[in-house]
Amino acid sequence: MALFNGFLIVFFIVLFAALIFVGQTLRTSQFLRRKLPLAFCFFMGVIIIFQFFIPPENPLYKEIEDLSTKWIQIISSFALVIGLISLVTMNFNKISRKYEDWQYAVVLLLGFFVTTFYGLRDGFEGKEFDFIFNYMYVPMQSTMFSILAFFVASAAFRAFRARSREATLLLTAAVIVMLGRVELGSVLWSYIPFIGNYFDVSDLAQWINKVFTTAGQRAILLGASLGYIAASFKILLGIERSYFGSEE
Amino acid sequence: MPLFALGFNFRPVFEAGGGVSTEGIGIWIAAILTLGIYSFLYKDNFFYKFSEYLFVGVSAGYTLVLTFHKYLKPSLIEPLQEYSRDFYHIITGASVPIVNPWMLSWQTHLVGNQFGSQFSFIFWFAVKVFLFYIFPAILGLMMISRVFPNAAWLSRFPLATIVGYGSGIMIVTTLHASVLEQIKASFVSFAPLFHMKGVDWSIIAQSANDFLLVLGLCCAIIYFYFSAEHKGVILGPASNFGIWVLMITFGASFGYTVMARISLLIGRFQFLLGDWMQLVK
Amino acid sequence: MKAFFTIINNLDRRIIFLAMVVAVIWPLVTPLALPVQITPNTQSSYDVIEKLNPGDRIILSFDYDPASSPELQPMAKAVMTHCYRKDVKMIAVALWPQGPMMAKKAFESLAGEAEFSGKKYGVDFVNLGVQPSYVAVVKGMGDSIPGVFPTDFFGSKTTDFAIMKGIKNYRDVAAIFSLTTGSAGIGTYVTIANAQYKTTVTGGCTAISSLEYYPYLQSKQLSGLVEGLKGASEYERLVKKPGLATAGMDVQAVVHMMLIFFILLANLSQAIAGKQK
Repeated sequence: MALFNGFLIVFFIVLFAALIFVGQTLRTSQFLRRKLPLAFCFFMGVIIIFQFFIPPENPLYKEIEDLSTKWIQIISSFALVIGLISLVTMNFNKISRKYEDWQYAVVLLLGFFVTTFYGLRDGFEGKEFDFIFNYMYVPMQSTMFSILAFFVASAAFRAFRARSREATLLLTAAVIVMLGRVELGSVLWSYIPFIGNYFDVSDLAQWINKVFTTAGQRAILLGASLGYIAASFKILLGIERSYFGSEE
Repeated sequence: MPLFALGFNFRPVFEAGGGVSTEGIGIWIAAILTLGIYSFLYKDNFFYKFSEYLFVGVSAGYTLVLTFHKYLKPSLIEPLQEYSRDFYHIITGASVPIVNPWMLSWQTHLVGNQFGSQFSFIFWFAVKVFLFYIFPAILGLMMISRVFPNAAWLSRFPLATIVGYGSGIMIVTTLHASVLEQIKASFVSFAPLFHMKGVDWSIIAQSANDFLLVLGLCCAIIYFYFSAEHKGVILGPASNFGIWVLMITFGASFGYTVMARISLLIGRFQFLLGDWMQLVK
Repeated sequence: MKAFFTIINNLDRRIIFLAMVVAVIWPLVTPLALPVQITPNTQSSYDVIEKLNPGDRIILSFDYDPASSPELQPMAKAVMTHCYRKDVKMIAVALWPQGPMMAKKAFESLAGEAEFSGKKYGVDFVNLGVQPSYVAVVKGMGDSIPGVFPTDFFGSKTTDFAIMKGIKNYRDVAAIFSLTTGSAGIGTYVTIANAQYKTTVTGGCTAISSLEYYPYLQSKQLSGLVEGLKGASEYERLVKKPGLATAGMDVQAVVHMMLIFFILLANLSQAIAGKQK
């Protein structure tokens, strides 16, 4: 099997070199650069739409499903590799040219290579990999995101002012929901004279969500979905091609 | 440590019977990294930057490991190995069981040894392997060609494939689930109102809620309708009510956002006060 | 008096940060033990699983990363506890790259409990891991689950597990329970698995995205929703196993009150001392 794996690696390297060579020689061809990728996109989209109209029992359905899923999975996996290549080269450059904060780039690369080494060696069952994930990745990521709590608090303090009728409505809805989603809110609510006895603030919050928020969210969902569909058509028909990059 | 004297009971690094506890070390590292990131709240500093860069490095490492072990290996490398092994065994007539079901069906077919069946086997094998594995791999390599500026345009092919696939799926599924089904669900029925015996407040309340929901939805949509000025007897008040509905929506969303963000903070403090300082069970 | 409100108006944000820290630590150290009320959304999500028969199999989708784990990890454990007790088998998949590790953590932590010592990997629970491009994954599972996930997270062949016997696609699972943060998750399952294959979809999500799914709840495309830490604490109560979410809700209550107080104070000081610079 080692022989075969070696062959596979050489095969892909040769393939890649050939691709780069072809890419460099044919780079001026407008047909290849522009028209063919658009045709590719159109073809792919039409096939997928067509597939929705085939009954699942039909063998053609299965073939299209199988093939398209495999293609997308393999291409997306390679797409992740580019991000990693650019991250690593960028940080190597930073170190070799002694840019500002280059010392931290060393930390980054160290983290990258250590994680990669243990991960590739033992897979996801390795003790060292587990250690890195549980005691470094998890705390760092969750702490990064939890910092936002402080900024949300500070934003609520600074920006949440009843300046107009609309702003007051926004503020009131927010306060009722915040009260209604914690039990302490219901307790405090029951001390409010008159209304406190008639209904609970958590019921009020649920009613707001069930009626107004559902209506508002549905309006947003409908608008966004129609926009999404229109954008998808534009992409398939080659009108929208910003995914090509900046030069076109 | 002076903190111990204050009654703090940090998670020990050493085990009772001697020797180092991996979990203890891990918890200490995690706690130091957590506090390092929180130090940003005072101002940007060395500890925060260190943790930030380390995080990017570790998460890039995780992505690479995942890409290799979970993405490329089972969907490209292993199938290629399996197909070639089976192909080799069939060609050489080895008495080794064939793993792949598709190849197995060919083997039984070839045992009959009709004239020409070998050719069609090799042909279909090449087509299958090329279409399912080699071609997407070529597209994947084209993606990596972005690294070389002169050949970067090759990456348009894989991008076009992914974008075309995504658009195709989205057109149909979004139209179905998020447009048609949603419109269908907005056709609420007021029939129970006319069939109730006596005065049933729950039915009346339900109908009133449904009515408000549909009214709110229509008005919010009118607010998003920009082809006519929001003036007059219908459009003016309707778009105004639409704004109110949207403001309530955003207010409620803000309330939920606050909740979500605080939850994350709680999670970290449960770790710091529980696992690390052992103040909370 | 006006001077006081001017100070409030120009309060340094670090003081608010400090108040937040105090409001979080205090209820954690001295719990208030507030009651937990069950909301209808959580209840209907619970009912989906409650109505399943022993031996039924569900897809449990871990669509989150450590950043959302304070909300979703207790929820995942509560749902898994429920399934274990009902003898419902769980096929864990993930649409987020870090999801399988979260599934692994949840499985390992429940495996350490005496109540579930008899539960086996591959029989009661399997972690199929993650595949790239979540739309392709959710759509592909409609045709073949082992086709999308040829191996489990640790590299063993998917079709070899006892739990996967007879499982081909969505038609063979009783329900999908997605634990969602961000865009990949409940929304994807509703638009593809529910719309095309009519599979029951339910789930839990972070509070931040839960309102997005209310239209799907009203249209019954989504059967129940466990919302954020509050939903997780409700689920913990439903399975009678209070944990981190229940403890966290005390803190949530105090911090909410503090924030509401701050908002009111800020509005009052603006009204009295004029607009802030």
